[in-house]
Amino acid sequence: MIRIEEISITEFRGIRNLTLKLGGKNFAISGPNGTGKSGIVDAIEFGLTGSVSRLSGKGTGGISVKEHGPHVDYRNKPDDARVVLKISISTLGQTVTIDRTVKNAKTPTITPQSAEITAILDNVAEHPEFVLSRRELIDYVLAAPGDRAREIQALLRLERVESLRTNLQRIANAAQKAVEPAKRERTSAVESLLSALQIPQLSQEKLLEAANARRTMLGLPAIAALTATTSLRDGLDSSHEKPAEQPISKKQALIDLQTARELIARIQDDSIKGQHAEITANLSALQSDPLVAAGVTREKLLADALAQAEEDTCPVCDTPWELEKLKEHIRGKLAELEEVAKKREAIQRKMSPLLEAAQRIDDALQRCEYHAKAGTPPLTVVSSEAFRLECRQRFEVIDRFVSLAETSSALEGLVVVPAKVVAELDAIEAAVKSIPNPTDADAARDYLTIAQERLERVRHAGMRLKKAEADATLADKVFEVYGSVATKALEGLYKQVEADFTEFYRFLNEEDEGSFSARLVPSIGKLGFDVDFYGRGYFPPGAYHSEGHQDGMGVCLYLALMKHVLESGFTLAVLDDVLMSVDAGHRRKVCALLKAHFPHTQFILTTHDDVWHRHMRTEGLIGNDGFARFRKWSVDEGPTEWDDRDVWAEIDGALGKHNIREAAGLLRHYLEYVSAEICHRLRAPVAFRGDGLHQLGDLLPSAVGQFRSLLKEGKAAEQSWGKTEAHDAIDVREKKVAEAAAKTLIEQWQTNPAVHYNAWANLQKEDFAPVVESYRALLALMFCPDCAGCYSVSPDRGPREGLRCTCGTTNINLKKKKGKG
Amino acid sequence: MPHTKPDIHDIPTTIFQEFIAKLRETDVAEEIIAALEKVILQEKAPTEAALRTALAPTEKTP
Repeated sequence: MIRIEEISITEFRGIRNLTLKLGGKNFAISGPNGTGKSGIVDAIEFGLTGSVSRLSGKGTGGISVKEHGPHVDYRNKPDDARVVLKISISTLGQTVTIDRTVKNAKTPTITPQSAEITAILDNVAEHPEFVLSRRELIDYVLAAPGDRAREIQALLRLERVESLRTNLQRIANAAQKAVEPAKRERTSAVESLLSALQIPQLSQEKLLEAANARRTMLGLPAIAALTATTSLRDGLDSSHEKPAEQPISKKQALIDLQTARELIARIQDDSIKGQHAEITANLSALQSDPLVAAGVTREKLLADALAQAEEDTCPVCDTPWELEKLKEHIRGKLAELEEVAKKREAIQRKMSPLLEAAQRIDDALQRCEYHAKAGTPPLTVVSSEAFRLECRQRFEVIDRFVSLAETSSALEGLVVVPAKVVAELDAIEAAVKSIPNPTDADAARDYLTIAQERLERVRHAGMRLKKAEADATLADKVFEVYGSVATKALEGLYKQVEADFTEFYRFLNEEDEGSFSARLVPSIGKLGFDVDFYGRGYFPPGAYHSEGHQDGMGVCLYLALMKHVLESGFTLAVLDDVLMSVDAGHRRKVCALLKAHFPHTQFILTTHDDVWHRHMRTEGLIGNDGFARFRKWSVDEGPTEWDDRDVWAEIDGALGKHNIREAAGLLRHYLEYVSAEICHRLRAPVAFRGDGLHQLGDLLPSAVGQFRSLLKEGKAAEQSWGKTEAHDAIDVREKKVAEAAAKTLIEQWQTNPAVHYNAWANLQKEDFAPVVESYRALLALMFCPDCAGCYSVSPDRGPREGLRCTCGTTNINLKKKKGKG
Repeated sequence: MPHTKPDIHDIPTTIFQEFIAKLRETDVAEEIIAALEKVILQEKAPTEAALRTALAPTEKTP
């Protein structure tokens, strides 16, 4: 959507005052390390988004745009640290100026203003990934699957997908977790009812049989069927009420006491003790690993923090954060603790039967306490109550599982019932036994009353369990449907990215990896990335591929991802020194890739490598004025740009100052570089040197000779096809080249000192200026005036078919008609 | 305003819409689906609490 036309930077980062005219076209910024290139990248990002990733990403604690955005001498004058961007918005056909100071980083002055412009600029600000640095490139390619997934999900704006997945999973887990206590409660309620009914198993038939026997004894009608609202006490009235002096049921009290004793004995038998010992040993083993021990605590803390994070501040320390970034940060840490979580869950599963046994004791003791308090006189049960209170606190600790040490300690006392509690049971039993035996009618009334109370409890516990199970089923189903939809969609998306990545990488490496393929394999929270290594199998990118290939992969993956994120909106990308390990041949391919696949994207590339810069020019990726070259930087002056954007202008400048030595040096270096490029592109024959150290004399005559020879070949081809007009056009061109070559005296290279660069530095300005002019004129004929790219032979191996430029303006056929020699 | 539409793949929204459509093919109550739809598609990042409420729109006392 946007392209940068011009950027003016004032007192920002290491730059004092600099204006670059990009003209909405590709642009290269080159210069040695420390000359201010990154300052421009920062300024572009700041101008468009109000922030600078380099000053706010990982590992930048204590650094901020507000504090460190202005030039160091202007750190207290954020109003003077300013970036003004002139951008064009193709969809609106408008040019817009964004004027942003560090002081008002979030409120730039935008001229003109409109809702459409604001929407587009907001959109750009939400996508700071238009800047790709080598750090991100490494994150995409070499990171661990979990880290890669986070980086790429952030790039694809998939955090919301992952966030919803996490939330639904947490809800499903919590719902599932709530089923167990509900089950325990129902089991306990059923046991209590069975105890009251004095039947071994709960069935409607047995329950009604037992209840109806008592009802018959009391002269009440039998209950035919048990419904959800049936009362076993139905029909009991005041005439059936129990005398006030003895409100408890002797028989039921004795049964409950017996149940309590049996449960206490059971929890201390070998089977439960064995389970307890095993869990304690597991906890101790985990505790001995300090990382795991700390991890359990951290995992719980982080999970809670994630659940609490709902505003733009950390729920723990109130530090301001962007909510999504905070959640992402916490999720990253939780992912690291995934193994710890698995171990914790395994132990929790093992503890479940133990907790169930303890819960049943709690329930049985509570019933005994009831009898003790209801008796005449009431008995004190402080030990039982204290023990149960302690057990409930232990349940909570175990349920929270905050730390291994605490959990282990809580578990320790869970199966040890104090002697004082047993003594209280003895006292209750003695008191109950001293109660006179009830009449049959009293016993029947007590039976129905207690059975009804406990039946109600079973009903409530059953409903709670049903609801817990229904909640768990629903949450599971929702999570499952979401998981399957999201996985399918992401797999489809990653397949497309994978296909584009493969295509781009093959394009770069068609010579030896033409059948390359790659696999992006998403799984929950992770993204696997394996690449084919010369048909020997799939491996992580860092396993066998060279660093240069990995850089290439990073760029290809970035481009494939951006294509899917922004589609036709991918109109701007800043590649910040990302191809430092890529060799010359592959850099040319990168240029071709960018031009062929992203013709509507403005690329801004920085490099410390001057040769790479020149490759961009000869490949036509950048135009003659599409670059800035910095030669030095100082804290007082900022970056110093080469005076001109053209080597010829630099040479003219040196000539103007009568500095022939400098002009000669510049011409020689440029000719050395450009001759090698032309030889490569024209497939010119050059005498082989094992050390590859060709001199200008080895290259330049060969380059010019090959160009002329190709023009001749083109003429002959056109003639064979009877294309006189094309033939004549090439003839004109050939003559111009011949004339220009003659002026350089290039054919006398080995014999005439005036054409030999060793002698140039000794010439006078008047003598050297024509030399410069002659080379300038000659080389101009070997580059396309439209795309600024050097002409090249196609294909680059095998029989020659054509001489072309990258934009297609020049396309000379080199194939003769068959039968025409 | 034809130009204000961001020219960007909104992958999450596409996934969320598909999710709601798939839920409607299950036996999950429409009341719950409608509540989820509202929360997920209207809120950029629905909180766990909001999702919990959506999943239990008419909390009944057992």
